[in-house]
Amino acid sequence: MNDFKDCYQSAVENMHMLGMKEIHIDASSCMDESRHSRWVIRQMRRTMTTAFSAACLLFVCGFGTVKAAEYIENVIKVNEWGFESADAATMARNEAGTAGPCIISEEVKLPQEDEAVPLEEFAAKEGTGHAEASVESGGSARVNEVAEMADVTEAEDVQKPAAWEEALPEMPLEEAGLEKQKAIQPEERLFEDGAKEGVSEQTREGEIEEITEMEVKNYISFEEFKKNEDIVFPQPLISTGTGGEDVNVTVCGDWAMARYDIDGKVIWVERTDYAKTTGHASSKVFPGGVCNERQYTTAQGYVYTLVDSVKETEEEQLQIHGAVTVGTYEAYIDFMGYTEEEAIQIIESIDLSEYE
Amino acid sequence: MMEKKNGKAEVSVSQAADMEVLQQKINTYSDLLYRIAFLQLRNNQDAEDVVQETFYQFIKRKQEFATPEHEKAWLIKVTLNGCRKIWRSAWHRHMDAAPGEELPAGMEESAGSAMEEDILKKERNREIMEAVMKLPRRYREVIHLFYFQQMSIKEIGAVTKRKESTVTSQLTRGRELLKKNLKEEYRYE
Repeated sequence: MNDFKDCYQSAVENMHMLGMKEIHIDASSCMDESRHSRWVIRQMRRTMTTAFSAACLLFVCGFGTVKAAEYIENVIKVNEWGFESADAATMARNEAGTAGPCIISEEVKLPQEDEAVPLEEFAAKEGTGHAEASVESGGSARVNEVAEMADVTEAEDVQKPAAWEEALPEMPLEEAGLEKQKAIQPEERLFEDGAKEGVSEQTREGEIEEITEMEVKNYISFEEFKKNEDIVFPQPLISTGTGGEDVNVTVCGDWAMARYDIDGKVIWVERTDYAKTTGHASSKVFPGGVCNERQYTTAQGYVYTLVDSVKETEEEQLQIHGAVTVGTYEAYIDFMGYTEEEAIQIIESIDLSEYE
Repeated sequence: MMEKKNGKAEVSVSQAADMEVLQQKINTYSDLLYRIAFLQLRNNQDAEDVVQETFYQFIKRKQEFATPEHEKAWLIKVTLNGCRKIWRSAWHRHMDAAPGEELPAGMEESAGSAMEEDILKKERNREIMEAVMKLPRRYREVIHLFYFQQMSIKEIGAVTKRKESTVTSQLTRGRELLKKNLKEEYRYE
């Protein structure tokens, strides 16, 4: 067995086989200051190139991360008529674009004269506490809920349209330059008598769109909801002590809403999960418009945007609407008949950290 | 005037003496340092630059050494540092040439016409150098200083600024990789 040391030394002596050339270094060439300067400059260039490449890589990675985070982040803003929400990228695009005609969801069918029913009359007719918020006087008017109202009244002996319905054509969604509403799902509503009212797809004149049907589930108690659903939906702690509360929870895909009827006052708690979407834009419109925009920061550090519905008459009940975005969730809460202090108390009782 | 002329003359004499000292050092150490630099960089131009820069530092610092071994160790250290400055750049890492690619064309002809023993020896030398060139730089450094410069673990640690235990483990790992890459078995102790 050969000794590696001897073999290696022999190999190094013959390193010219690997292309190493014989050199003769002269002292004067070593002492040449210009050569030394060139060496120093070359080293600096190499260092700067490496540093620049690293900086570019960090910038690209960081920029990409920020953009990805922005893309996921939801933004909620207040306009004259309520809330508009979108992912950050879409919101930025909307703001950069010019205000153009707004396309309201295909579900909205403006009722004809002989089809419309006043809101109050409708609610009284059904006599339930389960009617959607939109059909009650002063309630919020989501575009999809307006559609339900229009469809349901087809079978009714209708009268002249109520004031809020007349206002529909004037609904300034177009003027506000809002984006098209999110696709509406046809909903089934379970009334007290157990009859189900199918909702057919309606389109605005000239618009034809496809709507994906999604199952709508309605629960008449929170316990029933918790037994059958496994979704993140933190609720406020509400106790009246009178036992007079009535809870109704509706779930449709990534959207859920709970309605509390307590001693003549109403709370709607709503949330949508946008985790599975690649972009969205939607609006929440309140008939009559909103005013008194303000921010409220909870003890947990989450910031709600609060607005009040514009009162048409002094006798009207105060309606407070709140919106907050946490992670991929957008959450709304609407109060009817509650004071500001009571509303704040109820807002504080919701554990928004569940959405993180 | 005479004083000024004498001043200039003194400077010239001093410079000439420096140059002479430097040339002596170059004659003694250039081959050694050049091999080290070439083994690390595998590039003649860069290796020459590093060696020239080493001697430039040597004469500029005018450092006094206790023994010739200290002087040699210092020169090797500066050469290795110079090599690191070059191979740390991303450009150089991508431009690193593989061993064997620089084999001169005439080598094969001379191998064909040499005695069989000579051929075997050259083939073994080439295989060893290729195997060493394939090692990671930090192992290549230690293997060369240990087996060619015949430096102790302690001396290698001083030159490369590493702990003795680190040098020992790098030497062991270098040997293991060489055993794997070399067809022939060698005695490494």
